[in-house]
Amino acid sequence: MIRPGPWVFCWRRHRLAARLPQNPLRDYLRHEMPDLNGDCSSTPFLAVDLETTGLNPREDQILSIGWVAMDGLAVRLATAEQRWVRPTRDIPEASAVVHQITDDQAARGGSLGEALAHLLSALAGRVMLAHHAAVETGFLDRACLAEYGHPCMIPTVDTLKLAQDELARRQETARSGGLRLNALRQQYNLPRYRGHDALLDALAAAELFAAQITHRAEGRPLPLHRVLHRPGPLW
Amino acid sequence: MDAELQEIREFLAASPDFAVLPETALDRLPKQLIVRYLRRGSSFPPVGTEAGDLWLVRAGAVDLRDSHDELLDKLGEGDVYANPANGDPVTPVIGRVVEDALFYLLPARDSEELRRQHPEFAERFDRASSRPKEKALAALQGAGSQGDSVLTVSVGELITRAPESTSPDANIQSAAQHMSEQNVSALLVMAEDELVGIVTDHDLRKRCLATGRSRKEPVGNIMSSRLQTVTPETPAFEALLLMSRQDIHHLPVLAGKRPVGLISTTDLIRHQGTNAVYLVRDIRRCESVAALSRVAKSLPELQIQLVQSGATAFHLGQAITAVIDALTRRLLKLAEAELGPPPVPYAWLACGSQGRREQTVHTDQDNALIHADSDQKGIDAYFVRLANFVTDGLDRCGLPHCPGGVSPKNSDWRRSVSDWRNAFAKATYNPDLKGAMLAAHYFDLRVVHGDATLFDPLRSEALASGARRPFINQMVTNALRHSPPLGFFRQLVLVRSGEQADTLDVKKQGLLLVSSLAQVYALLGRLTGMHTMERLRGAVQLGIINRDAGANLCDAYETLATLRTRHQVNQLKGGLSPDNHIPPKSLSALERGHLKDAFSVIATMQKNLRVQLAGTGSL
Repeated sequence: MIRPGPWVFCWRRHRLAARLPQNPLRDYLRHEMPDLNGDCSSTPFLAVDLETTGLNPREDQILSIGWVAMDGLAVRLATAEQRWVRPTRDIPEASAVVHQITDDQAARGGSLGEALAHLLSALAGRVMLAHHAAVETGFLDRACLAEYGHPCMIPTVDTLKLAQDELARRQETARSGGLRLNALRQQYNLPRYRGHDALLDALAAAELFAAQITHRAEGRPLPLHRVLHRPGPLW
Repeated sequence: MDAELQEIREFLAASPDFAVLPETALDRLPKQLIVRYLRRGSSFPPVGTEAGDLWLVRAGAVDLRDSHDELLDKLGEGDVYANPANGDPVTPVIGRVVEDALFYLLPARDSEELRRQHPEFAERFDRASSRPKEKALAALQGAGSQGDSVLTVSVGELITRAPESTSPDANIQSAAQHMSEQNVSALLVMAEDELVGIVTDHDLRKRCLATGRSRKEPVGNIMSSRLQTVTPETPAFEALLLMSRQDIHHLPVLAGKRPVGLISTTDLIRHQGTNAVYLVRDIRRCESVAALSRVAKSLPELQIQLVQSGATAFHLGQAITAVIDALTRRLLKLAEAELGPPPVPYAWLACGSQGRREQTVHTDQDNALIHADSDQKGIDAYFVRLANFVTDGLDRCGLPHCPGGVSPKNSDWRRSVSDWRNAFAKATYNPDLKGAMLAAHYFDLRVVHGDATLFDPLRSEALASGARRPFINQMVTNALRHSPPLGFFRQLVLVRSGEQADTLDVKKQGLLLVSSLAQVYALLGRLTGMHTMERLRGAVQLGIINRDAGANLCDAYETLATLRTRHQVNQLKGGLSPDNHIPPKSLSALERGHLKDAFSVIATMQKNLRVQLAGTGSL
């Protein structure tokens, strides 16, 4: 059963693709979205993580983008990539501490447009996967708006939301900090990564997703639309 | 820009299987991996896996069992499972994920390419092969050694000048003059082209000056003519041991019959090294048990020094045993001085690791005594007093009494020649397990002091008659009483029953298993060698085991022994008393890998022996 949300979402993607001039966003939109009724374990995903100077897409900037593709629940490290973006303003000290990206490093990065074009080509035909995906969708929409004049419409799953759903199903509430990536990974016996960058966090989210779906599906098929964050049922 | 997967590369480099790859191959590897998650209870490897796939456990645990549900192995973080490649002999393995697990999968295509390019990597998954793993062992031993020391060079490399010589007819005065002109402490005495003796500073002092002998007499009258010699190929360490055992300070070096050099203890000691010689000399000078116990305190120091200068376990065993033998001999001499001369000839025997010359500082006494047959009264009382004196003395020197009662204080281990002959006969002709266990001890007996002719014929007789089928069967059963562990699981030792232990008893769970196998081979081949390595080499020469199997067992033995000595050195340095219990967490991933290899070699050889025993043919 397809609810109205996904149907509207698909229609808008088609319409936007038809209207756009030749650009990376149009190329991306012209690829079919994965089948929403398909089993998660055979759906192509791309785990993405952004590192930004802050959490507000209107004010803050993307510093780097990391991604790795999953075919079903198998993470293919051959596809792992990380792009750095040269910021147009200095990096605030607080975020430099978190990401350990300094102005010097960032200065060696490329333009936002280049990074975005690479990401969109990797995303073609795949569902984006992120932990707390609102950050990724917010910043990517904003970036596409700036580069191509339109927000991008990327089907997305959110490992944070899946964890919340799981808690709701068990009628539990989250402990403080319990929904952080590392805390959730620990629940599934996933290793703790010492490093912290966009690629490693994308990989960490990919592995968490594989664990969440493996546990939830219990060997039975789990249709993609049941876990989608965007488009939601009433998008 | 290339993505960095540094964290994954580090994890690979820490796995003993992948660590053998060169840096450049490790750099490329992360990008070839596929990450898979399997929940607890899943079967492993999962459906769809291909022949030749390699699975590296990143987190979680997997049990591997055979078709009888017996545990074969338990995989934890860093362990690798290789899907049998096409053409590999397949033993059915049933795996089950027992803790939610994350894997790095190296697909068959990449793994086969990697195996083709790096034979040392392929070897780790090559189940059909029993190729020796010497390189791994060399790497293990290499760590901690410090270049060339007396332990690694041969005598030839220590020779700095041609030997000075004189003829036996030359007078003492001219010989002494020659020595001081050339600034040497010894001269070779040559008749025609043949070496007939040696004259040293010591001889001049003791046999000429001290006795008032005329300086006009020929050198031949004061030279030492019962000569020990070595060849340029002799390992320097062996020369050192020879000098310690014989209490001599010079050794002529002969190439064929031609003298090419003369080495002295000073040469050896100067070439860094070891105070084994000093220690033996100090022991010889002690006039009381109290003095001996003070000198014996430096035994741990000797082990630390030897291990740090790169001694192999073989060398260490030889050196420590040489010192303990000297200690025993000195105590026997002190005992004889106090109790009076022995009423009949006797010999003091060493057993177990001392008998095999495989001791470390963590050792206890394993001794026996044999004396000539006689009807004289009070003989036994004398040897009881002697045994008490010596064993108590050894105990004061830091070598505790044997907890198992293998001691000449015990009448079972203090017998006359004919009693011993009966004991040997009883143990070898009455083949029960207890007899075999005793016989296993008997075959490791070695004369330390006294009249060797009392014991040596017994040993040869026993070897000659011992190789009877029922007795050998019992010896095999004895050798197979214990199995090595399966390996390690995280910080624990994994044994066959699936139980886990905090520490590895490297002696009981490893070294003794190899020694027992070697003992059986020695019996089959009637080998006279005592050291486990000597017996293994002998067994290979006689074709009792094949060359690769022999080399693998030797490596397994050296690996276990090397890790034991290093463990003990760490304990000694930390102010702890040394033991044989190695906690797995003190082992590097690489060392665990080598140990696991050693266990599997032992298990294979035990299995082969078991199969041969079960077969109707001869062993």
